[in-house]
Amino acid sequence: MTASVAFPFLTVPDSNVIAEPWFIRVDGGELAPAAEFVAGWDYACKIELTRNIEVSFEEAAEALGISPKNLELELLVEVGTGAGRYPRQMLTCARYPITASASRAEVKLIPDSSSLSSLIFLTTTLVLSASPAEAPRLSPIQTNSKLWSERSTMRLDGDEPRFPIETARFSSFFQDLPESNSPWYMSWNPGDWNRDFHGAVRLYLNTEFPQFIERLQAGDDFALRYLSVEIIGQILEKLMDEEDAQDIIDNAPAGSLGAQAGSWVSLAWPNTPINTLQQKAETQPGRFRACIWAIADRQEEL
Amino acid sequence: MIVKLFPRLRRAAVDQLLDKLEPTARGSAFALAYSLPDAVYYAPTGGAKVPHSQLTGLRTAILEIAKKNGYPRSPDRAQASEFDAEASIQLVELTGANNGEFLRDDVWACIATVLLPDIVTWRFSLGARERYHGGIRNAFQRLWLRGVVLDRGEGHQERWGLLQSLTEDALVQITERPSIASSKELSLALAEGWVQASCKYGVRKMEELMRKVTLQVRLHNEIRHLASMSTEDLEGFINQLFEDAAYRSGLAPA
Repeated sequence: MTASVAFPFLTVPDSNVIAEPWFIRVDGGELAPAAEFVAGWDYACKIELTRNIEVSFEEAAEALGISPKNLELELLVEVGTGAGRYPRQMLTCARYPITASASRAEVKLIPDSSSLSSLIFLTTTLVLSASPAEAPRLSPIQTNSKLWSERSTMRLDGDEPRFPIETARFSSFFQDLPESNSPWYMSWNPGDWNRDFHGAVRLYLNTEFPQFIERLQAGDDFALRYLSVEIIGQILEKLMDEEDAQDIIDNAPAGSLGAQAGSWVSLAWPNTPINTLQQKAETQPGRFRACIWAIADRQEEL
Repeated sequence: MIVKLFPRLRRAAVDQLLDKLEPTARGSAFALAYSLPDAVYYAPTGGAKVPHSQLTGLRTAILEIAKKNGYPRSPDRAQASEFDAEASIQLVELTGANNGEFLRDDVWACIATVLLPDIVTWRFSLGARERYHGGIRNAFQRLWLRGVVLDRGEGHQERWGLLQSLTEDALVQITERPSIASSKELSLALAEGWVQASCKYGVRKMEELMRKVTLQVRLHNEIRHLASMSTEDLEGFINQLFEDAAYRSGLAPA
């Protein structure tokens, strides 16, 4: 359920919904757990997405304060697509009625690959499908009230790297500015922590440093980790400058720059209060930066 | 059906090409040389490269609409608005609504920067780089999106009426809000609600009303699945939001 939304009515807790993981079948192959990345995808692929969901009807009714005999529920499963934090286009919305006697939905979706682009968003929402005859004041009463929801995102294979990277000739890009002598630079605007991570950050590699680019292309472990540390370091050091760093992390929407920074913080310094980290970044910047190597070591890829 | 793969252009390449562009230049590098710049690339698999004739056809069609609306002289407000509406229709008819290629920023960056840079400069200016780069403000991407979400359907007598009726501000309120624009049902309902309310309260009052209603739609959409409501229920809900906003603003029917 969206943690940042304060619902004006009772909702169904996660514990009342058994949402099994998504499975994917590509081009008639084996059904496999859906990973973050759909390898080998292109517009000609056939994709099948399946999952099972079960709602504990009685418990959900109790959580909503509505008698089971007055409760009508429906699961909506949507496929959306397009790059960014939100889908650019919702393609389909499948409906599964949920009742006391049929509280399990076997979801099977076959989106048309030619309509897909960059990302697949799979949103599952439990809604009230009819106004209850009787309900206490805090219970939902309007049809289509959102009672529980969950979203999964999968990146599609193609030419899109997980981390946006471009090559450019810096002497053309920056002309006589000192930046033209740099082998790389990260284009980003600190401050807009709610912006989609992949739209907010872009790495430019200078084609005038061909050996450096060749090392990266060859998968040179040290060069890749060095670059990761530099990128993560820039972002986390800026985050530590923010007075409300903890609020930024807590309120960051999924997939945003703030959420990504928050996940790096948890990875490098689990259970450490943010003010301790801010102090470390201020008084021991070298050690703070050195800690970031731990994240780069544990990240398969940015 | 085989997907037609359109040329793509990365962000840095857009900037490099724009740096070389003259503000008074006519035509495009593509049209003159009949070939695409080296920086252009395609999806490696999954379809067939779109034929050059289709790219030149796209350029010709949009250029014709621009000429009808004053090109190369700077367009006035009415001409710009007419160009936008006609180009929206043409882009949807030429590209289709359900092709993953047209959800990509780099495809639209290429269309604006390589195929139709002179039209972007005419409609906006060479300095307005966000109109060349891919994204919701791209000169043609925004028009295509408008056409897709506000198409009333092939059988409708006034199929493209919403594109012609809504003001620029109203169109922006719908298409620059991903939580609304991603849903055709919600976008159409909001646009139809705008048309009804504009008849009742007058177009001049609509900017403030539309902003209030758009905010309400976004708030309600967080707690209620608006897009899956029946057409009648959604229409009634949106109309009520306009009524409430008008009442709070002290507006009486014109």
